[in-house]
Amino acid sequence: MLVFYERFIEIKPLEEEIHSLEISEEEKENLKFLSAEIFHHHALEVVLDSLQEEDKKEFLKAVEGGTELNLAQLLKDKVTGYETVLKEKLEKVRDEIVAEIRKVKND
Amino acid sequence: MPESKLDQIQKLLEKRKKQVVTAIGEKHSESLDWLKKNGLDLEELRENQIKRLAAATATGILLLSPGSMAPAGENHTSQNRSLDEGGLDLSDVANPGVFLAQTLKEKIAAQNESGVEDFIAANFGVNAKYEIGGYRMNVNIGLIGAEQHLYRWAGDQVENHLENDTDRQMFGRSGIAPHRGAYGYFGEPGSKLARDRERYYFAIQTFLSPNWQTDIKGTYNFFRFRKLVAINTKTGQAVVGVVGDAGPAKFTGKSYGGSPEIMHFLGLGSGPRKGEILLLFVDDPKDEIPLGPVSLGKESA
Repeated sequence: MLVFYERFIEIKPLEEEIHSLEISEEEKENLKFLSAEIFHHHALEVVLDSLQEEDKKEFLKAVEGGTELNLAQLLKDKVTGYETVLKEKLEKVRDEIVAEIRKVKND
Repeated sequence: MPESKLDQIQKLLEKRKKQVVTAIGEKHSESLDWLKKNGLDLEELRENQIKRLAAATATGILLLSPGSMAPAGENHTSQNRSLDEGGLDLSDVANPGVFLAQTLKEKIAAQNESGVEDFIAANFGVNAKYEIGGYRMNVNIGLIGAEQHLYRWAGDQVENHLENDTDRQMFGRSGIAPHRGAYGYFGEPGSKLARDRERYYFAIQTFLSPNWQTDIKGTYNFFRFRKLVAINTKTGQAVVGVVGDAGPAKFTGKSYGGSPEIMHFLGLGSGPRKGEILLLFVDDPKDEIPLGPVSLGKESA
């Protein structure tokens, strides 16, 4: 299961900011990919911070090659309020990235 | 020379990435050591995922003009279209698929789901549904992009997916994802069921389904290998397949992924390897509709 965090974040504000830049489509795609990597790592960090050591291994196994059910069930069972925690963290990161891009664009 | 705005933004994002990777490494070194012992590090874990996320946007893989080729032995779905039940008379139509696609788009624009379902049943011979048992997809019309092959069972190899020279020529370059799909292996080793499911699999954003939050297990079981029909909204090419993976990521701008074979039979196997489709469930409780391309068949008045 690869994109477990996407349910918790609306990426449109970031996409709009990237699309407003006067750069090529390929460059825009690269920025979106880089942003996706950042979201992915932050989602990993949030979940790992909440898990016991053994559960962390189960989680990493599920992320790498498990099924969607494994991962969703593990998150639900082991991370209290994981939907809220992930949503708050990822939205914060998104808003910070949007602000940074906007600042560079307007400087 | 001043640094370009693009360079500045890239640097900021790279810095953010480095910070979070470092933080994970500092806080979770034991887990990362364990990951390393299993042949992966955080970067590779991310790379495997991004590769799969990116598969739907890959434009660098060129296939050999598959539009006019049909692999030998494909199990085409054929049916008799019925003019009495609303099927359009295609006898004088130069390109029936395009003609049906244009009419289908008008039905979709009218936002009458039962009208679309009836039209597909009458003209494609498939009992298509927007909703079954209260389950819905997050979106029914959107862009589909090309995915890689997936492991059908433990120990599977990409070479075994290519059953003849035509397969090798058409689908060999698509490669295979680094691990199994989000719904696990496709069936028993060597079984026709597993072979057909992987050959005609879709990736859909099940994680965005409205049902996912309320009932994880029920939703997973509903979607796992659920039969779907896709129709190319420009050409009318249609194919029946199953849900075999989750994705693509929203940031790709696409809503669905398709196996190399699915993309071929939708007429999207070459060029940018993406295009707009309508994707609906197939209501087929007796499992009578085979997986594979849907031919329009012959009218029976």
